[in-house]
Parts: sequence; structure tokens; C-alpha cells
Amino acid sequence: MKALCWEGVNSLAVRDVPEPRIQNRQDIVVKVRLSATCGSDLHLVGGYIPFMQRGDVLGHEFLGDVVEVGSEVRNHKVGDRVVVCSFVSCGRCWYCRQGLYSCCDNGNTNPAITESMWGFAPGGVYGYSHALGGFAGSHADYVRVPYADQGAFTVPDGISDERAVFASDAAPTGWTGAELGEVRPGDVVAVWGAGGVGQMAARAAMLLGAERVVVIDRYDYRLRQVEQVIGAEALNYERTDIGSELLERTGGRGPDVCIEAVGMEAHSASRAQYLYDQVKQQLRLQTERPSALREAIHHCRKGGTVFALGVFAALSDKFPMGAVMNKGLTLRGAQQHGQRFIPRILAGMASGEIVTEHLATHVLPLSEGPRGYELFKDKKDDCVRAVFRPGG
Amino acid sequence: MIRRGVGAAAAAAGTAGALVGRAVRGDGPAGRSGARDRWHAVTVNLPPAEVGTAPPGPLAALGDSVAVRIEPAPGGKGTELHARLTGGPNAPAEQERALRAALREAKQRLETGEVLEPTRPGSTEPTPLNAPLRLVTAHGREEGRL
Repeated sequence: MKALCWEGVNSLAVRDVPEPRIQNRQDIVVKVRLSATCGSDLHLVGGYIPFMQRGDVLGHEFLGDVVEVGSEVRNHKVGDRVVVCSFVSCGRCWYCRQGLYSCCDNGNTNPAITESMWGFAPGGVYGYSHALGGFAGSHADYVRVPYADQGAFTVPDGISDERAVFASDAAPTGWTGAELGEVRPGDVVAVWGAGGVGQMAARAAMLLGAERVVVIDRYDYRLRQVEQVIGAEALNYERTDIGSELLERTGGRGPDVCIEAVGMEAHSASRAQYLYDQVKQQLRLQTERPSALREAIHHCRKGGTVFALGVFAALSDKFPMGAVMNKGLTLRGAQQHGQRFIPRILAGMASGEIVTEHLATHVLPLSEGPRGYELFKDKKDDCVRAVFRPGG
Repeated sequence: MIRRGVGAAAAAAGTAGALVGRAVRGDGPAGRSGARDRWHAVTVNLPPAEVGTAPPGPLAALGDSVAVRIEPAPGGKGTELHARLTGGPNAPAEQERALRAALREAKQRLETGEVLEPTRPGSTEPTPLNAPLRLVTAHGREEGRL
């Protein structure tokens, strides 16, 4: 079958790879309808997360049709249209039972790497390096889905593929930030990043009752989506003093909840800060460029919550611990606990309160995968997400 | 195909992989975590009555080379499964790797009924640059902090 593979740093190619098969009794095999690029893929493509091997299949946000079912799968049958959570989680360990699905004890087949880096291993992720299980990704004709009764969800009729595919990762990741950030009715929420995850975090905050939601980015075409589709407020940090704006919009208090949806390759209004982080990152003296996280911490109100939703790999420099401690902030972070939120999100998609298809600005055949990542990475042609249609 | 700015980043990625590989493999006579006869432990998310008092299959298969202790976890967190090598602090590294793998396997079998397999056959192409990472992933469940 055809798949989009990582060939080396900044090198991708579509090539022939072996078809997946049922390996565990709780597996299904899915024929992929749509598979989306994600900002976190860019860290892999660029070599910032050095656990990829030549030939690894990328892609973790997808939906498709069930074509094969393992003997212990109870919730799915051949022909079901399913959206699959990007995290591989067993659903039965203590962490899964607490709703912390991305922290699953059993979903990562290579726990040694992340135990050594982070102390303990999170679950696995499709197409997201050998540090997170080495599972083949979804930018392919077919993909194997372990623990299918936990991670695959039948898509109700009436939800388009282009909407449902984002129930795999962008929407539940955004929901994770808003819910675990404890957004409450009446809150003012600031979100750094107007990509798919940032927009979904903003929408989740609104649905959880936030009074005002402000999204910060530098790309006007994304900020227009924030205003016109999501219904949140938008600020362009290249033309606006973000600190002053947030103070004015919160009566001098600062946002109650600040959600960082940018991650380890952030840009900054401060040229000096960006260059400092970029040089240190390129020299591998730090793994992140955490400027958006620093800003979120700086601007959050006293006693507020900062949620790190963007992907970070290891070590950040110049971390403003003084602000965290002296302002009494709650600092949280998480990969998405999608199994907990996807049913709610699919219901919202069915009712129309969660809209996502505008994110799929470029739907391309899988054969154009490398070009899709180029559009996505370089923000060409107003690309928000390139989405691949295998066989298309 | 997109291909840009490979040099320095690729070298850095290779170096990082090698360093992690060395860290994960825990070189040295007693490993990174101290003597090889220390207790290793996992917590199974099942009540003690469901885990039983006999060593689960993967640990039982290691025979007299391991001692096993089973006890309730506090706070309703399930059942703690402890195991240690009986061969003393200088037991072979292979025995410690087998013990870690057996503990992880026992936990997964008890909680989920089977052991999750990595993707096979994979599409990975062996290269000199990814050799350290391949070495690590070949022993993914045998190493780590456990």
C-alpha cells in the first residue's frame, strides 16, 4: 500500500509499505478516508523529536472504515465509519480509569525511552516516533488500530468526513486544555495559537461557559477564522501590544485561564527573544522555543491557571518560575485525553455547536503528501491544515 | 519530496538518539538504578483478590531467579507486584532485562488480557544514523526506570 513516510530531517516521500494486519485480538484495521496534518508533526519532520527512523509512516489524526476486526472487539464491525483517537490507550489501567487516557500505562510498546526522558511513559500515538510506541501512522491506505473498543468511535450519520476527522485530535486536544484548565462560567480565557488546536480550545472554552475568549496569533487568515467561525475575539501580536490589550479586556485583572496551543517551535513579538531561543534550540542547548508559554504565564491573572497544550519535548530555558510561584498560578499540561471527550465532541458536531471543516483548507490526495506538509509548514496559500485522502 | 537544511539537524538528531540509547541501555555492572537485586514494581489496576497470591505467568516463568511479593496498593489503586533477582547485586544484566519485561507483561495481561505488539512488519529502513534507536526499541520493554 501507499504511505507518506519520514525519510530524514525535512524529507518526506510517498512509498510502498507493508499493509497492516490484526496483531492483537483487540485490534481493528481501518481503511483511511481522511488523515490530517498536525502542527505537532512538524516537530518530527524537522528533527526536533529525534526518535524517527527512515521509512516511518506519519499521521495520527484520521477517520475511515473498519475493514477487519480482531476476535475480542465488541463495539465495531466491518463497514463502520470510525474516527480514532490519536492516542493508543488501554482503557483499563489506573490512569485510563481516571480519565487520563494519554497517560496510559499499556499503550506504549517502547516505554524505556520516555521513562528515561520524563520519568514515566505516557501512552502510544500513531505515527509519532518510536518514543511513543512506533505505531505506523495514518497517512496511508490502511492503519492498524489497537484497543479499538477504547479508541475508535463510530461517527453518527450526518457528520461529514471533513468535520469528523478533527474529532480524532484537534478537537479533543482543545477540549482537554479547556476542561483540565478548569474554565468556568464567567471566565476570561486567552488562547495562544490560532491553529486547529487553538481554535478548538477556544470553542471548548466558550461551550464551557467562558464570558470572553481571546485568541492570539500572527496570521490574519487564521484569526479571521477565529472571529468568523469560532466566534471568539482575535488579536494579532505583530500589530498589537498583547499585554495592554489583555489588561484592558479583563479590567486590569488578566485572563483567568491561559491556554498555550503553540508548543516547542513558537515565534514571538520580541525579535531578541525569538533569536535567543532559536540559537539555543539549534545548538541543542534547549529543546524548545517556549516564548508563548512564557507569555501565557506572564499575562495570567494572580491565582489563575496556565495550561500547556502545545507539544514540548524536554527542556525549556528561561522558564518564569518566579511568576508561577509568586502569582500563585496553577500550571498544568497534558496530551489529549480524547477517549474521555470524543463522544461529547461528536454530539456537538452533530448538533452544529462544534464546526471544524474550515480547518481543512487543503484536501489533497495522499500522493501529494510532501507538498501538503510544505503548504502547512510554510503557511502557504493560507493553509490551516492539509488533509490527505488516500486513494484520492 | 521536500528536503532542506538536513546537515546540522540530522547530526544533532543522531547524537541525541545515541545519547538516549546509552542512557536507556543502562551500561555498567549494576545498571543506572543501583544494584541489580533491588525490588522492581508495577501496580496492577485490579483488586488483590483478582490478582491472586501466586506469581503471574510471565514472572513464574523466570523460576527461582526471581522473588515475588504481592500486596495491596494504598488508596484503592489496585495491587502492587514486586519482583527482584535472587542472584545478588551482580546478577547478569540479561536477567534484569527479563525481569522488567516480565513485570510489564504480567501487568498488561492482567489488565487487558494480552500484550500489545509493536507494528510488524514495520516500514523502517535501517541506516547507520538510526542504529542506536533501533537498539533501544529492540529492548523497549526490558529497560527504563522500572
